[in-house]
Amino acid sequence: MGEYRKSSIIKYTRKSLGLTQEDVAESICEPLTISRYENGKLNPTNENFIRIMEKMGGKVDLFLIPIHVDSIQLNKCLDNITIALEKRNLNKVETMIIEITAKYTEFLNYPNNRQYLDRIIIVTRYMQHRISGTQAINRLEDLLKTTFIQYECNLKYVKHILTETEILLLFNIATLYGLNGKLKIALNIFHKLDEYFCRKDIINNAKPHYLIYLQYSNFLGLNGFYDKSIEICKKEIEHMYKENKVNYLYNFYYNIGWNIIKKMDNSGIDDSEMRKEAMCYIWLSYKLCLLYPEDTSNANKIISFYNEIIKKEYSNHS
Amino acid sequence: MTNINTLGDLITFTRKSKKISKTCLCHGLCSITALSRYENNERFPDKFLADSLLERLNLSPYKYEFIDSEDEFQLSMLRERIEIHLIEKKFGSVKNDLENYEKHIDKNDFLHYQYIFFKRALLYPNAASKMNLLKKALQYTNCIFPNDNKKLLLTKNELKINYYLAHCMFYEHMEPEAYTFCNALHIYICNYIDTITKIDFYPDILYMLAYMEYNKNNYEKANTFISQAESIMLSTYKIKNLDCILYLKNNILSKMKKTNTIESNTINALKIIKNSNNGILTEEIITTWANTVNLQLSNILENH
Repeated sequence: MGEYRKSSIIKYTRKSLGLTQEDVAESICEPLTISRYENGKLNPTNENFIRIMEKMGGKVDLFLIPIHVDSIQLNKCLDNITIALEKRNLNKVETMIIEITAKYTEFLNYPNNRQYLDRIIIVTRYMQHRISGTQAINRLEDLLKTTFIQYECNLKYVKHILTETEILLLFNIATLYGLNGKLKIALNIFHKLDEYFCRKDIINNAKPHYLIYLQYSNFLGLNGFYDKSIEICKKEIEHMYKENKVNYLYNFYYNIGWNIIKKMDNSGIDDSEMRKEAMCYIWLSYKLCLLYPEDTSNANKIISFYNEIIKKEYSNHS
Repeated sequence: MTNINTLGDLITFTRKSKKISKTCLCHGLCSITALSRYENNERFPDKFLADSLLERLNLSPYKYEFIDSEDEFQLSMLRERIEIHLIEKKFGSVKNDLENYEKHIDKNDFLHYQYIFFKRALLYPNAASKMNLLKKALQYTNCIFPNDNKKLLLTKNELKINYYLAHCMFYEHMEPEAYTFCNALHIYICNYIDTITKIDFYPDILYMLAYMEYNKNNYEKANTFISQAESIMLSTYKIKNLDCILYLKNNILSKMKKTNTIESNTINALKIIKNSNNGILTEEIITTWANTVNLQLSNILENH
């Protein structure tokens, strides 16, 4: 999707061809007029716009650059692959990849599409234990660098706008670093992604958003950064609630409760109010997990943890 | 697939394949002559009008790339800012944005005026003023639903404005009108919209219909409506007002003497989240929960 300004299109086409404003203006208008078009101070008429673009050899389907019909079916296939991957139905993922590679060869001519598919292939191979964590990290990083040239694992500031595939690649890379003993690197990548999402110019309704925050909170909690983990969860809960999109919400409630309990256990605090708070969050998590179409095996894990806390509460009282 | 390279081609192709007349498509938006010119690529509509024509054809403008003039682009961006300010409830900013918007349009830009009146209506808490502004907005394209005479196609904004009107009538207890509106919207959405889950207010329309049927003791019908609302909310992972939907469903099921009611604690969980601070629990909420649920703890231990 996109809305493009005539001003931007003229300017960037001209610059990418290495032409001057005089070159473009010749026999159409004054160079000063081109300058005004490019600054948006003057609107070119459709006729002039077409003449300018044709002169620069650009395509002039003036108002519409449609997405090919093939893409609609292809997008459905890609969605299905993503769902199969989430459900860990790896055989299905492999079959569908073979199908897409055979059927939509034109699709694979575009680097971002190849990147999308290659990411899935690498993640699937790792999950099938066909490659090690380190191998997966290396391949994913190489893949990311094909479009995100400045990437390095000690990620600094992200200047440009990331595509969904690039975000997912960072997510996978950070997860694997975390699982393979390089926690500092993992947390840094997550932290930089958090900074990125806080930028005002970013549209924040991408699916990877909650996947990243959940994993970030998981790593923080499992490594003793309980307060930071809780902070991340609360931030994401607020975001999900405002967007009215609550997939995985139960995970964040559970994590808050879990972090509170672990914090108490580790510091030897025995605060009844804190325990009640943790129980309330976990109780909510349980209800949400059962209500929405979520992973029901997690419901059993939640209720086990909740019962452990209750036993402790009862043993304290008796 | 035939060569569709321009907006004109797209509109012609889609309109013909869906067997929609030019009259129907352009109703309230432009003249038939103008539409013909757009279809033949002799003239180009502005972005807002182009979006409206595509929306009436059930096409998503987001799937296409447009080249705008500077002014259209600025107005598009202003509309996005207004939406963000509305979500953040910064009503003062919305008011200023709308005044700013009005300075950039012509008195003939009726689609833009429709938009302005629509958004202004959302700033008024008073139902009567709201309804007046919403009706005025719809008059710009002559699209007040339900229309018994002809087949009416609606743009996204027109659909939404009609919904808000129905919503006001419902909460003002204007039952017969509210019912007619809601029912017409429900039928339109069912029959015409491809992806109903994209209409985020559809569950609310179903809720209002269920409520009104419940009040008329038509429990079967009420149950059909409310179950559909519940199903959409859960499958799209929405949460706002889900507690009301489930609460009503339980009332309907009780009247039908059915036992598969939803567990009251589930509804309580949703109420807790509703009363929270954007999903985050306050001390007060936790204390209330602890006092009510403590009694349930032994149940949980027994059941699992």
